[in-house]
Amino acid sequence: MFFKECKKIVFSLTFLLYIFVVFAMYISQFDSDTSETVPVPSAAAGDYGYTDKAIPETLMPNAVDGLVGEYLAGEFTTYPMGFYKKVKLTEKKKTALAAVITELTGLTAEELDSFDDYVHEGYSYTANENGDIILNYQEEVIPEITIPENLAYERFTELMAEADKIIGGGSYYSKNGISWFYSRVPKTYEEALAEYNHLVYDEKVTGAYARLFCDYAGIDLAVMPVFVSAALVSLDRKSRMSDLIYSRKISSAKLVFTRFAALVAVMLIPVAVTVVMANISVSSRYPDFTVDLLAIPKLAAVWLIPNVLLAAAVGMFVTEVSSPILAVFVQGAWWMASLMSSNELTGEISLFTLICRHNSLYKYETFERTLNLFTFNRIFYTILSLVLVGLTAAVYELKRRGIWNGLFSSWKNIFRKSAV
Amino acid sequence: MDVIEIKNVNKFYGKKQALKNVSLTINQGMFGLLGRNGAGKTTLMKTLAALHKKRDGSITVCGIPIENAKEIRAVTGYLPQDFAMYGGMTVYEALDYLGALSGMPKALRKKRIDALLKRVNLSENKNIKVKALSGGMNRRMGIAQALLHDPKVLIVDEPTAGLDPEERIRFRNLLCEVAEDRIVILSTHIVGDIEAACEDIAIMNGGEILWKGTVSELIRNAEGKVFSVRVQKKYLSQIKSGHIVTGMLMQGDYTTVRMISDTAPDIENVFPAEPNCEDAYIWCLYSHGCDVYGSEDVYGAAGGDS
Repeated sequence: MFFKECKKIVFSLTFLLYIFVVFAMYISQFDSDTSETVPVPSAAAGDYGYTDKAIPETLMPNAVDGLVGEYLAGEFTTYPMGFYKKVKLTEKKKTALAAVITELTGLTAEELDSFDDYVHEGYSYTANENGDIILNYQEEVIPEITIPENLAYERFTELMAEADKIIGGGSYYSKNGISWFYSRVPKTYEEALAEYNHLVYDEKVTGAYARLFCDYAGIDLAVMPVFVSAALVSLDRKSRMSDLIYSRKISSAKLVFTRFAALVAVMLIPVAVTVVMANISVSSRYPDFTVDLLAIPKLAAVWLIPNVLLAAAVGMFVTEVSSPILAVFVQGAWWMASLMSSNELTGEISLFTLICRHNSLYKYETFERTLNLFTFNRIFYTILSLVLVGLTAAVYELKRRGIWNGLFSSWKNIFRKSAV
Repeated sequence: MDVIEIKNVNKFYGKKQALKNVSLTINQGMFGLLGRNGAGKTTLMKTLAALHKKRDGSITVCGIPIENAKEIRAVTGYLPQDFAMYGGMTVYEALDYLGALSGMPKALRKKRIDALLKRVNLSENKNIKVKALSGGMNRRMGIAQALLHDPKVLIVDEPTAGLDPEERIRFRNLLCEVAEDRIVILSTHIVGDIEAACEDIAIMNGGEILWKGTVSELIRNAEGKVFSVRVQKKYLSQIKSGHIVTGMLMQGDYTTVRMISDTAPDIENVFPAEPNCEDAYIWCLYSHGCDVYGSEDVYGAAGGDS
């Protein structure tokens, strides 16, 4: 049965689409990102890029300046679910935010509101005597701000979280926002060298590349399997074979779990091929170093299999309950929401993050710090997938016995009553 | 104990009652279930195949209560009305797949598939794609799949609709052979199939069993109720509007009309005729108060493929 289901999947059009996307993602993202080796930092270079570092002495005044500036401008930039959105506060919320700013700066609401010299940062065009257009940069003008000396960094982060909450979330003052906009500092030579050494010696090159590989592959594997699984489950209906299969002796659980196992096994084949390609590609670029050939396969197994399991399970369940179109829509919406909400691309995950990100060869410490959460996350999605497949089997049995026809089993019969 | 016992079975689709107090006993051999489209035949067949849930009443198939779906599936073979298979598979692959779903070991599957393909005359087509089969070949493959796990009961729903006369005869003969050692339930709205293949029959209408018995009894019931008359064509519409016509034979300017009636129609030169199965079926519907008077359904129900 297992191999027969595998054969059905392998010869389906949706699987061809799946293969195309998996390889396209590999070639266009991972392969192109890794086309050059990471150079050994040179002491003479001077520029080593940036790193995220929470330095209260610089972070706090910059973030508070930003908050006061936006308060005076009367609008706040936010990125809910990754989409840009301007927010204007109600009077009640403005008052609440003023109280937060007062604690951050010592400025009262009255002092803030009476500040008439506020100028928004920006550019303006003027014409000189000759008629030439001149671009003028205007710095932002805000009150002189002094952060109280007794304001601890911990209290500062609490106040910023409160400000973000008042604004509605996704602002520059959220945890991710502060990390992304106010924690970026230039890397030193020593830091760059330490990172490089960690990459090539501690992580044996492939350890770091494994995270980048999984970061990219995890994106498409969180959605593409839904197409393949929805197509497989709906094939019986499409081929008018449902009754024929319902009438056979096989148990619903055995049939559904066999199909699920076949889906996962077949869909992991192209992933395994890209893992081998990644190993060959990375190790050939670092011929002078000892590489760990198991690093990418091991991490890919833990990181990517739950994505495949979940997308396949959602595809099976929603298709069985309703329709393949809805299955693609549900998983697509979940995927989009997860992708757009991951402002932080380097390892900041929660228990329910569907698409775990780590779009960097560095920042191992972030990955290590969230390793337990990451492990729970992957176990959670694995269990959730198995639960969904179990529910699929239950729904299949109900439909098989004519007890329930499913939701919206046909667009023409949306309100069709089930047979009793 | 190869017998199917159906007692007082009711079933609803929402508020619509699809089966009304259905009771039947079906023994080994061919059993015909005759009725118009929408009479409830398919619902009853699916209920017997454990694909539909009855609301009340009891059904046992070879001693197994219908609620034991897994055991029922093991002893029944089902050929649905709109039989189809994965078009991309070959005939052999499709049968092998269904055999695997029936829990048959590989060696047994191979043996049974070869034997069945030979029996349904498809041995030479075993490697062609299902989508390339003709309608008749497709139905024969349908029988092969239903017999694959050697069931005690074969449920065949409207199997000859759309087949040409030669394929229909071949298919009926095949069913009769199969019925030698098992129960075969043939559901159809084509009276000719029932007359040619079945001894025991039941007639359904509006979800009810209107009548059950043998084909001979059905015909006997219509004795003295069938009349024939040869009239000029110009009187045809007058006769059709006033009588239940079961057949017409055009002969030049004249037409020989068969009709059913409780008493001899008041038409000149009318004479009693020997009832055939179609006449008897229409008489059965009429005598049970079904609306057959002058409707086109008479022709459809009496033997048309439409």
